[in-house]
Amino acid sequence: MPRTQASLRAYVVQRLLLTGPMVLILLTLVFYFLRAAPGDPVGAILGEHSGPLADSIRRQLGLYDPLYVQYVDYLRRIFTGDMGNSIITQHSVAADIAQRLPATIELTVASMFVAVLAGMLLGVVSATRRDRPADVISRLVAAVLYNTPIFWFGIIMQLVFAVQFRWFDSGGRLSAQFAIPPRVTGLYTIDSLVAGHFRTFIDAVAHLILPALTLGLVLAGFFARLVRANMLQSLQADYVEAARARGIRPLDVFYRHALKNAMVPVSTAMGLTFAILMSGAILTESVFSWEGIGRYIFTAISNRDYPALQGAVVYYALIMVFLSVLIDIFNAWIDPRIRY
Amino acid sequence: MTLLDIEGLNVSYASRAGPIRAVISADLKIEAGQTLGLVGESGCGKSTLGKAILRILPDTATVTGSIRFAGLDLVTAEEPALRKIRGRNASLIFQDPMTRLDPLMTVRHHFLELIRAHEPDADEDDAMKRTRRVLTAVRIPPDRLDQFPHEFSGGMRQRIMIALALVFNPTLLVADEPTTSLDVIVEAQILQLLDSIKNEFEMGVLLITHNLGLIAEYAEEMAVMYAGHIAERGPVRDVFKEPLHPYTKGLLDSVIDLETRELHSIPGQPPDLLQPPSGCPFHPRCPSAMPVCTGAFPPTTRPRRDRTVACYLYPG
Ligand code: SF4
Repeated sequence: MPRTQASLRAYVVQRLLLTGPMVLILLTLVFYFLRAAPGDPVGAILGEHSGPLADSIRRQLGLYDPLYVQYVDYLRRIFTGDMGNSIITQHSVAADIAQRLPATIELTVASMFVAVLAGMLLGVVSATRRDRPADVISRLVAAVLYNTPIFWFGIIMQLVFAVQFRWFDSGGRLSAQFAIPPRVTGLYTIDSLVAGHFRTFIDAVAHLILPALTLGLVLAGFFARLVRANMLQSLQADYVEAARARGIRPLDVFYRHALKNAMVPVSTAMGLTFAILMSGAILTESVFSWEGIGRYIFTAISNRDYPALQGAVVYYALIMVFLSVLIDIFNAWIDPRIRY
Repeated sequence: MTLLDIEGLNVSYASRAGPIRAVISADLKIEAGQTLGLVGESGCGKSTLGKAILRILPDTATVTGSIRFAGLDLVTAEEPALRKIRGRNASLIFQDPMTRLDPLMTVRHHFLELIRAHEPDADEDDAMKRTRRVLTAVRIPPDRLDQFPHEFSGGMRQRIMIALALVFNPTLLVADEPTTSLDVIVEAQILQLLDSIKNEFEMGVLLITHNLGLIAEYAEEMAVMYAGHIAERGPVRDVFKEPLHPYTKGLLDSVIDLETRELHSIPGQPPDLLQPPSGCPFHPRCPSAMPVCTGAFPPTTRPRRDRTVACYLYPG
């Protein structure tokens, strides 16, 4: 298929070229909003008195420089990977984030897996049994899940499965008796397998289950609605009727035509979901003492640790850009109409 | 030889407001190699009748009566048997070619899917050979096989739909308003194509349309549908020369007056199928209505050779 491949390649190149300006705009917005917020980090820590100590810290942080100097400095630092130091711990923010990022990735990917699996299941059951009891029940489940506060849901999960049944630990990424596997990816589940520490792997998965279920199930409610709405639409599409009229088996019509077409808007929405996922991660990580970016942001906000917050937000923005590129390319790959 | 024999066909849809009777004791016959034109206003049940033949109506529809085709009664036949018939012995093409092809699938895959559905062991080379043959018959360059539907115009998509319909040399083609959404020039091309293909592939055709002009040009037999009933049936030439049913007369008048640039449409609205008028459903609009017309539906009589009509003006 030379024609279609060429158009896909052109689309990918074009999409990647657009990423540069997009990243720059995002970084500028982050810069602007953190500067526009009332007060400055030094004032926030030392109170509104300006003493010689505050002055010297402000000078050290470059807060007396003209805005454009600060902006250029900010960009230069980001591109050299220097995010400054945490005001509280004096650790390098970049190192802190690099340390915690894998934990968040592990949690996010596992939650997404739960969300997509449970969401698709509920949505497909609903759509194929429209208005019948199975549909009513799965819609109800989806609505309840979607409207459950993550914080509360996490605590209930802990109470039931960790405190009452004692099936899982209530927090952390690994039990104390297991050594952290040698770092390859930073994801304990993968690293333990790479190292061949099978029992460590089981323990890491056991720790992942509750937070991933908490975050994933809440998102599954969102997906279920999305999948149902899009499946209902694609099941009634003209090409589905036409395929039936050609004697195509119902299962093939369902998977090859209806489900595939419903996936295009669903995967677009999935990109947006990462935003919910991240805010959900902040809460989930806090409840389950999961040492990831979410908890880092939570701590940074509580401590008004601006460099840490800025660093984490910048990382978050970059991850969002990367994911949206990935999803756009995925969509263009399944839907030729997107490759204009 | 009778290809398709429909007797006493009823189709009703379940709805919150009660059953909607879309087709009511309809009788139709199509001879092999013949084109039957089915004409009526939108919402009269003609599309439902077309889809009922292939039994692809939604789950809310109930079908009774008999549809004899290919040695089976399609009303009572089981789903697997019906599936073998669809797309192989009988094909259906639709009004809106723009939305009838799966936008995520290349033309090649539409054909491969169809051929594999009916012949699971078919090898790709052979399938593509057959595909090229039908594409050539509908004048689509076979080198466009790997393109997606959105890369074709409406007329070309309808040609592709026709090619898909032809792969297995079906004996029956149901064409439901095949050119309504196309412009006039493309419409003429598609209909001429259908006509030549009909002869080449020796198919019977059910041409469903609201356009009497198409019936005059392309059909040998015709049936007029009103509010789910077959109002009148007969050879096209006879019906045009001497329409019997007042509704047919009204339809023909509006066509003829169009040519003298005077529009005489039939006064009144097509009836609501949920609550059709009692007796003959045409009576609120009928210039010849009599007291008896509001009572019961008129019996179908045969006032001329090869003609049937359901109207109290023609007692048996
Ligand atoms: S039965 Fe009566 S109302 Fe109906 S078409 Fe004939 S004359 Fe008109």
